Amino acid sequence: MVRVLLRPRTFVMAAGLAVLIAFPYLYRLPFFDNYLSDFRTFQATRFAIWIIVLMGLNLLTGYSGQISLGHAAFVAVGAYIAAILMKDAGLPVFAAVLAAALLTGLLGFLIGAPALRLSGPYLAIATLALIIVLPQILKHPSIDQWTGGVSGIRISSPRVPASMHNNLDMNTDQWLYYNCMLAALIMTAMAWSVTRSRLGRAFIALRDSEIGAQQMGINVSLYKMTAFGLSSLYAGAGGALYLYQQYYVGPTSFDITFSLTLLIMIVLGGLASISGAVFAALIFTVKDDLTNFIVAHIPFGEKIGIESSRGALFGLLLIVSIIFTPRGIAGNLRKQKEARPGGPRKSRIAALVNKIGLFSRKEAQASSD
Amino acid sequence: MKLLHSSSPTTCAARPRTSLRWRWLLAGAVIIAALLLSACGGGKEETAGNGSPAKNVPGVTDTEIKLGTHFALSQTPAAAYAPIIFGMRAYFDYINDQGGVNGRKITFIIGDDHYNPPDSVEVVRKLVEQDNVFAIVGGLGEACHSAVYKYLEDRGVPDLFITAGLLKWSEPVAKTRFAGSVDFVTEGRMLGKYVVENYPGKKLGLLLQNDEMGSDSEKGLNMALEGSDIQIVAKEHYEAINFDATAQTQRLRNAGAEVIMAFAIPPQAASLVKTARETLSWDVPILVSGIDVSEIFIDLAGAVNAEGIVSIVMGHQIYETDQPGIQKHIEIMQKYGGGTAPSNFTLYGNAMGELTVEGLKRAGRDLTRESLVDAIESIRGWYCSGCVVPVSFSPTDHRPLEIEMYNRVEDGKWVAFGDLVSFESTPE
Repeated sequence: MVRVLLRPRTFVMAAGLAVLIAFPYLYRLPFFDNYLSDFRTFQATRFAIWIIVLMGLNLLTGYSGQISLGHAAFVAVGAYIAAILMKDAGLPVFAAVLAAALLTGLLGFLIGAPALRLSGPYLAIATLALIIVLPQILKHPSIDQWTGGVSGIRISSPRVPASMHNNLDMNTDQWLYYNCMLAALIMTAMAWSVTRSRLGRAFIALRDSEIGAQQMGINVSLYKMTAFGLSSLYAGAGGALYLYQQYYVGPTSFDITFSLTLLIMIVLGGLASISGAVFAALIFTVKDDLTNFIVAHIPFGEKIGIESSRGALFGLLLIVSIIFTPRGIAGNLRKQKEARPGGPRKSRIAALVNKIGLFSRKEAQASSD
Repeated sequence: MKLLHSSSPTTCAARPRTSLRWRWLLAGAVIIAALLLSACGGGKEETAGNGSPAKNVPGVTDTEIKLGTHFALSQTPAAAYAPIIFGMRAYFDYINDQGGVNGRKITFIIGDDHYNPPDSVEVVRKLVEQDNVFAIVGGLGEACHSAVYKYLEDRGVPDLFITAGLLKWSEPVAKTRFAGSVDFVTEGRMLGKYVVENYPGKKLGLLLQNDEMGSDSEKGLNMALEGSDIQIVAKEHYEAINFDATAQTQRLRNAGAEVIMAFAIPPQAASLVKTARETLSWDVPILVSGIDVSEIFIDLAGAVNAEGIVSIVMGHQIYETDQPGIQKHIEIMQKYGGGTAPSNFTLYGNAMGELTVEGLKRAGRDLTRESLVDAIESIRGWYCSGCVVPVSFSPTDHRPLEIEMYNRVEDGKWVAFGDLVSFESTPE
């Protein structure tokens, strides 16, 4: 046990956790105040929310191999459910987020039923339809007393608990950051354990060969629906937290571009990998800062109309990164690791889990292999 | 068993790497410590020496006023509006070359939000909190600005001349927020008034954008139609991302409409006109939104089809080059436009830029957010260089434009006709 604690990875993780905890307060220190502010905390909160959304999409696309172009629809549904629960039903935030996640998950599970008769490009088209029709449904006069129609829903801004405010001098941005980051950590741990369980292996089997999976006794339709439901649950949770952070959601908050960008990000970050979703969320958060930085540093950029070509520039960056990291960032890191002399390093956490006996022996053994 | 076996060689192999990682960690810690120390030494002085000496106004120093905006520049069809903000920037650059405003030069930061509300929030927060702008000027989009206007109000950041026509910007009045273009409710009233006066007893068909633009315009129209004998026989909606309004036009005809009012942006309004004239050979009178008073609309609809279409507008057209204000604008665009061709869009940006500079000028050398708001509220009966109608504000009226003039397409160009139409709420 002591050896485990002394291992470098334990230190790295502890340091990482310390940075995560200290981050929102760093800007109050000299030096850091030049680079950080409440705005960066706000961005980090959004990063946490994207982790959740992209983690869910990775479970669906990366692990179980089903392409969803309309994933943003579930994010929007989660946000709207949370908004209605908070505003009209007066539910506390925690309950509203949880309920939004579960209800969106259920909806995804049910939508998965007809969708699972389709596969490949046909499923992609069906999910694309979701994100196209959703804004019109939200604006429909028959339900606009709940959805707010074209104006969307505005909830009151989140309130920092008095004890936090008084003792830690915590402001709204910091409070939101801790809430969302905690949720992201929990959801990541959940995804991690799912992918290393019977369920996760069933997803992978489905992705690699549906017929093979069927022969192994996997209920294809049930597991497909579960993958859909689980990823919708993540999307719903992300959407609910998004609403909590923005305290506003409208019918145009999530459009097709956003939906497609989610998929692009997960490919860039690395499919079928937990860290891939984290990388994807990171790129998603900083992509505009990145293009802005490049635009600002191209000499004579104004003369060649670079400002109106940011989209093209971003596209160029995408092409370049796909050429150099075809398996995504996480995939490439893994590849390098595998190429190292001595082969891949075994996961110590897996061994630890095995020792504690979190999973049945068989599962843990498989996960450490 | 298997686990034990397989893990033992890896631990051996991992050892040299482990020490390497420790070294990295140590190096990192040293760097961070060094940075912290150096920052502790230098940081305090910097904050004391920086900024304006007397008072601390965000974005204002002795030589600079920092302004910002959120606008769609890329990745969306709405990037077609980008010339508006380039027109405004060109005007600011021109003013800077003339010596600036009260000795201060304007720095104008345009944040690209791709017409996506979540991005608008991010862009605006960055402008306010990272870049420390003094005010936001001309933010684009109903949905985009809806996502940020409360934030700006709560922060007390002046939110000037919004490039979106919702009534909620100016009703109820928020101290720091000023509308830009004519709001859709007033526009609906103005066009409704024209219908009541010119087409008594006719059946009216509506084309509406399925968002707040459509609902606000309809509200204004209903105000104008109240008590009249005009009857609305059909209401058709379209989604802003769908450029085709053929089906809607056919349904309007089937419903027996005798006059058409299209509260629509250029692509859909043009689609309606083209379908009515070419496909259906339907010679129905058509009115369109003020946003359609542009070359784009006529190009899309075709000059022959657009003949006789009626709308409202605040100023001269870019091709009225005999007007000194228009000449001046074309000169400014050629020198400072950075390749953006002068158009009605750049002209509108120019007008809002002039209005901003007028406010800053009136606020004087002693510029604060409060003095700017007071200065703008003091503007009465002021004309921009290409304007036909006056701009008036008051503490209870934060709408610049409540007077407009009717325009009609004649020989492929928008031409003014008739008297000015006024709903001005600021007393003389």
